[in-house]
Amino acid sequence: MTNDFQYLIHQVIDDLATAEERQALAKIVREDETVATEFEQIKQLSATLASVPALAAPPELHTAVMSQIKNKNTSQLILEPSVCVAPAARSQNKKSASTSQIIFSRMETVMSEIKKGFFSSTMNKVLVGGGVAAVAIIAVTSGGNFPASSQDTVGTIAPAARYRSDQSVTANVQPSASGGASSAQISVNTDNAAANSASNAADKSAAKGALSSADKAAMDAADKTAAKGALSSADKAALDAADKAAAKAADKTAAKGALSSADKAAMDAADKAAAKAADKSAAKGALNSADKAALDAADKAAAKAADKTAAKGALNSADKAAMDAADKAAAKAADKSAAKGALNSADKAAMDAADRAAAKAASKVAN
Amino acid sequence: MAANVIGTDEQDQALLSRYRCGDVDAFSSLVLKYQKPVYNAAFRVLGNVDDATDIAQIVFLRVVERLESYDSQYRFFSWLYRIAVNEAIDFLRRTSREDELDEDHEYAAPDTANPEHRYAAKELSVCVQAALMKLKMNERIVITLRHFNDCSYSEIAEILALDEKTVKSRLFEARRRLSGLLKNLS
Repeated sequence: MTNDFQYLIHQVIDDLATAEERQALAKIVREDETVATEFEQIKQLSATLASVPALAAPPELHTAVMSQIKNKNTSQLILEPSVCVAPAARSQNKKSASTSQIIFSRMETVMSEIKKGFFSSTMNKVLVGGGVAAVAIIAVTSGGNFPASSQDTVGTIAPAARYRSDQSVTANVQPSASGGASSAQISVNTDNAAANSASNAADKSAAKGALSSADKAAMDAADKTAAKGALSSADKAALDAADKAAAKAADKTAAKGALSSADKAAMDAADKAAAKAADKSAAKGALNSADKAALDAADKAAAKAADKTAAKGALNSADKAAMDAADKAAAKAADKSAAKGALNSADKAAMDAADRAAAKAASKVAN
Repeated sequence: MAANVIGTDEQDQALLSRYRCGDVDAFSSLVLKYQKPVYNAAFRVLGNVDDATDIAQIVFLRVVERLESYDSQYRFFSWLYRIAVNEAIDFLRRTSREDELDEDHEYAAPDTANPEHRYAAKELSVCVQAALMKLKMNERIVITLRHFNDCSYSEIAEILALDEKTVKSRLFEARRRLSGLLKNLS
């Protein structure tokens, strides 16, 4: 037996062989009995495997998978509002963050945003207040001494002195011209008054400016304090809100988990109850329709099935019990009676009972 | 071959795209579509209903977790089956429960409403499963993919990351051994 021969067998079995390969195999099979036997065995195996029915997926599988995936998706959505992004971008996120981690992470984000807002607005206020205070200080210092003393005001009439003429002497002033001197003196006095007025006005203005600046600085300081207080309150309120939201989210998650568990427990309990009821029905059906042997067999099978049924499906056990009962009843009847009619009757009765029991169990399970 | 049974890869890719955009129902459709073949593959490799259910569930969750690493130039079902096979192998290595057989399973065949047919189908399935469990794990996997999941040689090669020649030789040997085992069991 060569590898070529094996290759040909499997090509034919898998329906991949060409016409030439089929002919070549047919020729080998005709000439070599061992090859023919092996070909027949592999062909039979293939047919046997093809006749094995596919298993039905457990009904709870889809629900269980989807509930877990929905939980996972909800978690991811909290972290990333838009999940429809490039895979590379998504890979930066944690794959399986727990709900608590996500809530904590979200809280941190909220907290950092609150703190960021608080500090940025506070800094702005401080800077503005500081600027106003600096302007006020400059205004006060540039205004000179406050209040101005009479000594200091002398300086303010200096420009008037520049217009003071030299004292008239006899040589160039006639005695009859004394009015000019008097006039000049009056002029000097007038200049002094004007200077004093200007000085006072300047002083007042400086004082007013300084007062305004001081007021403003004080107001700003007061505002700042008030703002700080308000921000602290806002911060606290925001923190409380974040805490409450987190607590609420945690409660919801816990509640959801508990509900899932409760649902599952309820489903399991319902399945078990249904299985037990179906088993009992099967046993009862067998009792009414078959002979005592069938009853014993059904009881035994039902008891076995009841032990095994933990949400495995009542129908299986009921069917098996009924089939076993039918088989045993038929066999017993056949052994005991040589009459073919009796065998047929027992067999039919048992089969009918099995079918009825199965149908009843199925309808009960369906209900 | 498998593609004929389970639909086109374009449909799968479209469903995956929708899921990536937040449509959970699209993934639900994928689960509905593949739960049966994945569960069957897991059962034939593991031989236990509960273990197969667990593995099938894990497989779909792994798909979600690893979706970022999925390369769409490969067929989705190949990737899915590869995950299923790897999870089943890991499970067997962890638990070393290769010898356990589970006879309580439901069938999706249309004639299972008839108790007689159902009984016969169950007997055959149990017998075949008993023989399968006596094969080496690698042989069991190729038999499962070829005969229970209708995968072609090239698809099996893609799923198992092997070349087709290796798949063929492994399948030849597995068939010969399984044939002998079934003969003895019957």
